[in-house]
Amino acid sequence: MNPRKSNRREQWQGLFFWSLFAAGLLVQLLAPRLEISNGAFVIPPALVAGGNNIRPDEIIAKQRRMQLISAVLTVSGALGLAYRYREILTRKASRRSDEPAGGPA
Amino acid sequence: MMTNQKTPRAAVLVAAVITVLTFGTVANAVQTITTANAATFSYINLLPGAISAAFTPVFGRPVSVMGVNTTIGDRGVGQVTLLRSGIAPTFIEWTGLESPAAAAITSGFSGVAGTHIVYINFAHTVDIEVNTPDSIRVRNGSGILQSGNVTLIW
Repeated sequence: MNPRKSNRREQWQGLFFWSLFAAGLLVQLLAPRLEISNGAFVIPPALVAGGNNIRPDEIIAKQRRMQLISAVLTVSGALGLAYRYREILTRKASRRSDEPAGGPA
Repeated sequence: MMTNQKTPRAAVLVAAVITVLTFGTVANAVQTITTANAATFSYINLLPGAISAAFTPVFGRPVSVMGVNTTIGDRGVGQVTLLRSGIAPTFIEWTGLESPAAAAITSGFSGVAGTHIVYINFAHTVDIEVNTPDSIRVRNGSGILQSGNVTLIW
């Protein structure tokens, strides 16, 4: 295989997995963040104070949907990055196992 | 040589950060997804005569609405199970129990704003009432500031 082609493919792979991971974190940041207390979602007082019309089922469904998307993207990105950089990550471990147990004589 | 030693160390550090962020994200998602369909809100120092924000319950499913008034000297608790019809003719229908004192069955159906649903304070002046044929609200009909919580489960 052409080493330059392979290198470019690896670069794209890395970029793709980093993007996936970053997108997961971004969705996490943008998701509605209702506090959970005593097994129930707490509607923030600021939302209750105004003359708003609040639909708890829709807010909660949106939060669930976004959290799920965020988790899927983040886990996929993290696993992809682990695969992409497996050689760097395993290099240290293999080097350690190669070292003599007693150190230099 | 220094660079070769540093690279794996930095990589392990980055991997650790990624792992922590990933676990954090998954933990958030699991907590959100496994929490029951329940929402709670507080009305704090609701002015005399004031109404809270309106809440639209899910339609076509039983919704348990429980309210407590926590103002000292006027504490109370009331609950109803209600239905939002959602499809024309639209209305809110409910049955439940008023707050002490003199707790009694409350039931009915209405789409008219201001129709009483259930009292949640001892003096029967703070109540949950119909806001629109699709939503409910808390009204403070007393002459003092009132505070409390309302929980909806569906």
